[in-house]
Amino acid sequence: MITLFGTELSVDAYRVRLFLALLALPYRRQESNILRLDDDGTVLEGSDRILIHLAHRHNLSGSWRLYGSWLDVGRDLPSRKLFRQMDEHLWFAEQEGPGWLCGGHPTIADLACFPAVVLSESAGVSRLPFPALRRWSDRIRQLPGFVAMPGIFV
Amino acid sequence: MTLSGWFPVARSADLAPRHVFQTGLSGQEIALWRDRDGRANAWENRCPHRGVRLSIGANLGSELRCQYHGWRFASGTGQCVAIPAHPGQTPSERHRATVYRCTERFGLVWVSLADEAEDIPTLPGSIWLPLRGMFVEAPLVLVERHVMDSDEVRFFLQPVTDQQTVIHGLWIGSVGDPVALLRQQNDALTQLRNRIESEAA
Amino acid sequence: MTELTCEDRVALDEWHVVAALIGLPVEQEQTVRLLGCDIALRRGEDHHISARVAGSGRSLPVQTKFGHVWTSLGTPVRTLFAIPEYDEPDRRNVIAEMVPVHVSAPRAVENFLDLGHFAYVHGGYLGAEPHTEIKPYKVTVEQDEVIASGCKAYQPRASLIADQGFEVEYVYRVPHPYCAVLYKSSVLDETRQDVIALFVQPEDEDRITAHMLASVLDPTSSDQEIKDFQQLIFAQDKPILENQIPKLLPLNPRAELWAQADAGSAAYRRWLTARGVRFGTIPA
Repeated sequence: MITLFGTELSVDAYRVRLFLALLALPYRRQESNILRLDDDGTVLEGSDRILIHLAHRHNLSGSWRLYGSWLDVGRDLPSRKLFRQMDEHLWFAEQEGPGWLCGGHPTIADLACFPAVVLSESAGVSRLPFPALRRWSDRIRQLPGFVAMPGIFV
Repeated sequence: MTLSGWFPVARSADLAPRHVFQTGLSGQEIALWRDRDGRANAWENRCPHRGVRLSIGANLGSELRCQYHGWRFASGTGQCVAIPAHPGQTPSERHRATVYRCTERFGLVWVSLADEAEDIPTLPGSIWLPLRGMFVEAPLVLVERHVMDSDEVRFFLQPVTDQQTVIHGLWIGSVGDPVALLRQQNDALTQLRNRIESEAA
Repeated sequence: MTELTCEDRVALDEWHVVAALIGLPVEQEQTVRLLGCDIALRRGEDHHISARVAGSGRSLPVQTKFGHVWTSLGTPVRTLFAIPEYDEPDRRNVIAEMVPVHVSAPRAVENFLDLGHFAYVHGGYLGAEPHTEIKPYKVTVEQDEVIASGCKAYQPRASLIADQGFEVEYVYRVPHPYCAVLYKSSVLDETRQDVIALFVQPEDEDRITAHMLASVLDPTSSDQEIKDFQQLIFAQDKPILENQIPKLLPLNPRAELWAQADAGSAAYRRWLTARGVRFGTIPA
């Protein structure tokens, strides 16, 4: 059984909760200021490491596992410069297929970047100049099993 | 800045299903969305109830739903068709979103904020490929000085605000590999944008 | 030399919240902003609190109430309103954190009074489709305060200790241009009410810090849990508030559209006009 230690308002914890929901994995929740996952004895901290672990252990098809350098990008968001790069990257991905950050299908790269993108306005970075980024945000919100957090509309 | 006339605001392909596209003209925010029958809507990006942006609302297919109180507005007329706080009642005629004129041509979506507007510019030939719109943090007058039409490409400028302009390019030359062309033109426009922005700074 | 950019005499002559006591360390000056003016707050070792206008050094009156620090840039004509429940011995009084929001104070107050958004903004907690109907409720002005009573909403999870949905009855009270108090039936004792208060610090016309007090009957939850619940609810409201255009509250009744469920906010806007409040509003 998976136990997730975190808080409702933490963006880091949300990344993990979102992945657990998209994978339809049952789990227990425990309030804690430090984000931690206990997966039947394997204990990990930090949303990146937890996302990678869940993708390897629980995603049988392996489709979620790619992330390239996007986890690093995720940590530096929001940033207008990175949004420009992401918008261009996603726009061209849309020309050739469904428009995800890595590999033509949703991966943990998308989940790592999604919360900071969609909450960027409250950090003072507008998304108005980035249409491909906005369509990508909607695509993620429309994934089956998607869960929101305060500030993110379903 | 004159508000009359038609301006391109997006590529037709930008209006994805179940998406609300946020854009603007001369400081007026616009919520752009395509209904399930393919019709494009350009509305004032502001719910007439309590002023919440319609672009954070939901495109339900034939209606746009405001995120605040769930009021639903019909495609085409902008008429409010449902107020969830009063389920049995039909909202009055006055309960409607502000609708702007909107049409699609050359693979672009054009909007006019005025009631009367001159015609949309025409293009030679019948083949065109809309390029990726380039968002520039600079006023229209500055962008205008740098952008030049050629035999192969025509440019149309969208003044989003007085400090932001989108360059919409239509490729009217021959197209070999469309994606390669789009990338090449995108690179050129990116460099142009960087030049314009350093001048604006 | 004028130290104040705010010209709204009515707003200047009110008491306004500027800080939560728990956020004020001893012997350390804090700058807070009120009505466009910077104020230096200082809490001495004897816990006496002083407030001075940052530029001129003019001393301002200070009182502490409901766990918060209140001051005035003018000459208060009214005493600060009362919340008698705060002093009841079996109450939990919890200060939820202060949240900055890029919107005007009256918009934040109106959102607090609003019933029609529960299913859409607080879905799963304070409301859910299809239980969206708001039946008519009563609105009066009593002793210079706006009161909305008999407001009913079906709530899946009305409070921290509610584990099932039930119909909740609310009373709203606006005792101050930028403060609102709500009373909702307690899950534990139907003859008594939980009290949630919003005290808005109007920093600039379109910027505020929202302070919240929960004065509840709840013997089991920790302070942190009560705080977390209030913060979660407010975190859902914040992006709505920051996406409202215009940020200032229009007082002209024709500026925005109305539904019957908006009776409370209609009364609030009329009350602001009658009082002559201008800061944070677009006068009619």
